Amino acid sequence: MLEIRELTVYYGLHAAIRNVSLQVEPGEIVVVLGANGAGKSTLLRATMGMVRPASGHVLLDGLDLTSLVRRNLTHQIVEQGLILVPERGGTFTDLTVRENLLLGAFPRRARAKEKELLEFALSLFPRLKERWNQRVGTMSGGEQRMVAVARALLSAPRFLLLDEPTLGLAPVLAKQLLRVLPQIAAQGIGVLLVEQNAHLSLAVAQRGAVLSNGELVHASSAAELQDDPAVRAAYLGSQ
Amino acid sequence: MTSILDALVTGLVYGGIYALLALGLTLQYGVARILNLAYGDFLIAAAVFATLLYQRFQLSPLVSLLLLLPASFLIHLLVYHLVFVQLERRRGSWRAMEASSILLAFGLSFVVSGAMLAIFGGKLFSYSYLLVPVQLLGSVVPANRLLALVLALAFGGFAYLLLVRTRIGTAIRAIAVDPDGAPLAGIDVRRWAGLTFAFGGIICAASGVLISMFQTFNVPMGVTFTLKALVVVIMGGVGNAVGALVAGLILGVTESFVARFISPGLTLAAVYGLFVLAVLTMRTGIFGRALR
Amino acid sequence: MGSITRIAVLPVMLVLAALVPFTGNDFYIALGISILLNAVLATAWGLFAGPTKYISLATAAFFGVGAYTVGLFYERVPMLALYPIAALIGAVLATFVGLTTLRIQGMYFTIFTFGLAELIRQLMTWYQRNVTGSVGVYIITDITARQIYWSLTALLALTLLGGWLLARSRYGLALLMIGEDELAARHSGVRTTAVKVVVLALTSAIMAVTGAIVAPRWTYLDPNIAFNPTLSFMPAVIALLGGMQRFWGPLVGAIPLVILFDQLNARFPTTYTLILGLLFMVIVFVIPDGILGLLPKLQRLRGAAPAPTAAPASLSAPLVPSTPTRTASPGVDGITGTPRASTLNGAVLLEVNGVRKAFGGIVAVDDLSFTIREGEVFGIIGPNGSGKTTVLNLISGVYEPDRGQILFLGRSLAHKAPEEIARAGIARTFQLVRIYPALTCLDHVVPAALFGGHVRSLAEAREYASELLEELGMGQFMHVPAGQLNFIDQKRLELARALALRPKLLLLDEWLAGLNPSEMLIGMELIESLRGRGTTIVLIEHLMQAVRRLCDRCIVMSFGQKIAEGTPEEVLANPEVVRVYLGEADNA
Repeated sequence: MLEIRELTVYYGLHAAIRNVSLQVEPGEIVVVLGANGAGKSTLLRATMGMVRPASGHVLLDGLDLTSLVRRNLTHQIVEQGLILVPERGGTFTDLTVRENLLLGAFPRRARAKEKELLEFALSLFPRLKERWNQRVGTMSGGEQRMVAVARALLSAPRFLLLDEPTLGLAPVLAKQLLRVLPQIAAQGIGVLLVEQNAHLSLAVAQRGAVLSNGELVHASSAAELQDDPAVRAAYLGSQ
Repeated sequence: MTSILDALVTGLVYGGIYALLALGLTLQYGVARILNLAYGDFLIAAAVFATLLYQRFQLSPLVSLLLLLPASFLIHLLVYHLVFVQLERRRGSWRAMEASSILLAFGLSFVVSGAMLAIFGGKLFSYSYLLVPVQLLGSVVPANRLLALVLALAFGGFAYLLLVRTRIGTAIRAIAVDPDGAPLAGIDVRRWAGLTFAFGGIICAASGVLISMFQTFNVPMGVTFTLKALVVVIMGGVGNAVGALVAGLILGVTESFVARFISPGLTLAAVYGLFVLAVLTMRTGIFGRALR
Repeated sequence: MGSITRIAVLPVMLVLAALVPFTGNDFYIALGISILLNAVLATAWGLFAGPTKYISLATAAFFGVGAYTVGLFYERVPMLALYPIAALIGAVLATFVGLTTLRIQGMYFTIFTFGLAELIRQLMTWYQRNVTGSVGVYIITDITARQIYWSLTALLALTLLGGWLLARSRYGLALLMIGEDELAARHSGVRTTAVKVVVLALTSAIMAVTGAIVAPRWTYLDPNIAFNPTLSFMPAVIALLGGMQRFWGPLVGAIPLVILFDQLNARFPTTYTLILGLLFMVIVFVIPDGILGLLPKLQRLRGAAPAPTAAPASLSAPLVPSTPTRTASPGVDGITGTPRASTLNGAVLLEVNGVRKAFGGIVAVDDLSFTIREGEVFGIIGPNGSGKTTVLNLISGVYEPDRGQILFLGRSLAHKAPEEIARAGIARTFQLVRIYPALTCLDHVVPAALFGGHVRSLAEAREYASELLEELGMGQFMHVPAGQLNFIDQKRLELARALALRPKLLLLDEWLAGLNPSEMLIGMELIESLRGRGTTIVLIEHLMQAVRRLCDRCIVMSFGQKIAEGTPEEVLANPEVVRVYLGEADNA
């Protein structure tokens, strides 16, 4: 189980997230919704040790990763089995698809299972086989997201963190991408998804929560959130 | 006509070496983010030791390589961790230390060349190794130059294959293009940057030994080698091995033609001319990428 | 004030220094020349490198050029004429270096300067060998060591005076801004490349004159003496040790270091370079946060005194005090989204026509067109990643459109640099605040007022900037370093800086983002008051309550394209807009 306990992050004087707690079980998909600036990316980046939290803990199957987080040892957190696909990122755009996936399996623990993981990733995104030696930067936005998710999967993650993977994707592509997530979860990988595309992401998730102004304000099952006016308010403001 | 051919062949020999020495610097700068202004001084140090080993112990420079390359690797690894990483600790971040790290490297170049000046003074070094004429493309070239060129291309080619064909080489290129994103691929940037800096040190020492095989040199010449390496790096694009090869050859041939047909005293001016051209036509950023 | 007494100390010191030759002791005069020479070079070096953080390693090149000017021409040209000639040659050389390398990153400048002295040394050797026939020249003049000493004292005084004036001029502020954040400086209307080149040329001219003054000291001058790399090294060490930004820093650094090196050179001639290098490395390391980072730290420390009283005052301060036009602003209480008739009839201010911008394979803005009229508040909204900030960057000149054109007051903005666009009357704020933590609020706003081109003197700019800060409720922070402000005040400061350009059009990039609910209300009132003043505003915003309240009209972007346009109420009710925000229900 991935457990985020009362995480607080400051950027200078401004609290980006305050006391956010969240749990993800293996094989479960949890979505965090919220408007831009609500602190969604910060939550994921802090969990990976990419920004230093002011307080709070990150636990992976009971193992406390907090000291790694506080020392910004992201590569060791990856080695523990957490992986993040950052907003728009998660690929080396100057390298080819092949090279990106090669680097996906850079963590030692991923090497043993590299072949199976690659097969699995390519079964999810068969398109990547056709683009095998293409530079990622020259590919379309949707294809770049596929490379990023595939690269993340090659690290043999126990929990996959996704920061707005559908950002900038046409609706049909966004839908395709998110539909892959249940297949990933079926492998026993827990998925923590940050999204602004509420309908689509709630459709694939089991649980969801709304982050507003740095605080987790609303947590419930995905089905309930689908019709919750709070979700609409988080984006469009109250009428 | 033969003089043109001579100049061309000489230029290509030097160009091949320049490409190799630029490869080492581009790795240090592109991956470890250190503008190593002491590069040429370390190169001269390797050349001096190769000369001494040859003169005192009749050790072939090829054997010296086996001693000097590991030594250079260790020294550069130590320099990276004891000097630059410590500086980063004090400054908090790479960004904050960029200017300081340049000054530190500048100081380091004085330390390295100063140490050698203290021991050897400014005297000229040279030894005659494999000084037999070889016919090449209708021009006569000393065998030592040819050997140096072949070895330079072999070293460079080997380093290039490591970078392109292996997982670790790919990881190193990933650090060069996206140091912030690399940890998310599980890459320990600090560790690999240090090893890459040291690997650049190997290439630096190799270049020095190869140069000592055919060129007379002295300690104060370190600056010009640093400068030539920097110009080749900028012309070829930082982190670009193929670019370094092409730029190295252009620089070598230009120098050779200027020396032959205009004046040997103007070779550095030619280097600067190429530098100005490269900078004026440059549209991408320091790491060879367009502005986001 | 402390700084005044400190400045008064300098003339006294200089006068005392000028008396040294009367001791008649040649050793002191020689040492004094060495100290003065290095103090001048270090001061000149620091004047450019200190604020901009551009590291020049070519002091020896400029110095040597000056020395050689004397060496080659002293027999034909009177000495007094040689100084300005040396200055001119130094300045021209520096201008060439600057124009080549200063428009791109600082690293290229450093690399270029790294070999410059060596280049000129070789050129000079070549010239002498091929033209004059012998390398090296004899300089036989009747100039005495005392005269050189006094000339250097005068030059040092001039350099210090110049530096003092520079720091207090618009160029001094501009240099500081360049060092802290070049892009923000450009958006304040600073022609950064020009400023850098001019200051580099001036300081290089001083170095060349130093060379010209000192040249007669050597009766024999050859390129190895004139372009000695140690001459590039010493000023940096001295400036670093003394503190580059501190006015008297190079002086303080020069005296001990020159004496030390003098001793070292005498006692350990062979290991001299080695010791020099080691010492330099130690200085870079040991001076706490030393060297380039020294200045902001010091200012922060110095500014620490007023901070405690200033900081908590923020929220209780008059937030939008006495803005005269506030009552004229309609809709202060209103969530009335109805457009005011007047705004729709305003003259066309900005016209965006079929603009497209792609980055690699990703199209950020595609065939976008809209028109902004004078006096309106125009919103650009859309989901994250829909291209809004790119639009702002296209308007403010950070990017050039691939296709289409942008007209401001009927004139095309094509090929205009950010600073030109800022001067033309388009100001902006940044999504993530870009302030200079070490500079005071006033120092943020004054340059924008100056470089915006509507005030003539620094005094006038100060007055205007104070008024503006006062008006935005930041009067009490005038002299507080921006790093100590709380978040909303930093945002207000950015706004003040943008307004100081007296923009016809103000671009606000998520200016309200990150504010807590009460600050948000304050922020919205502030924007309303700006509208009341008649400023035309483009607002990129995610907070729909703000969009509803503030905007007259808005467009909604999705995938770089405009999908809706109208009043906030209209577009937010548009089912297409709701769809792009919340995503399509998965029932297709």
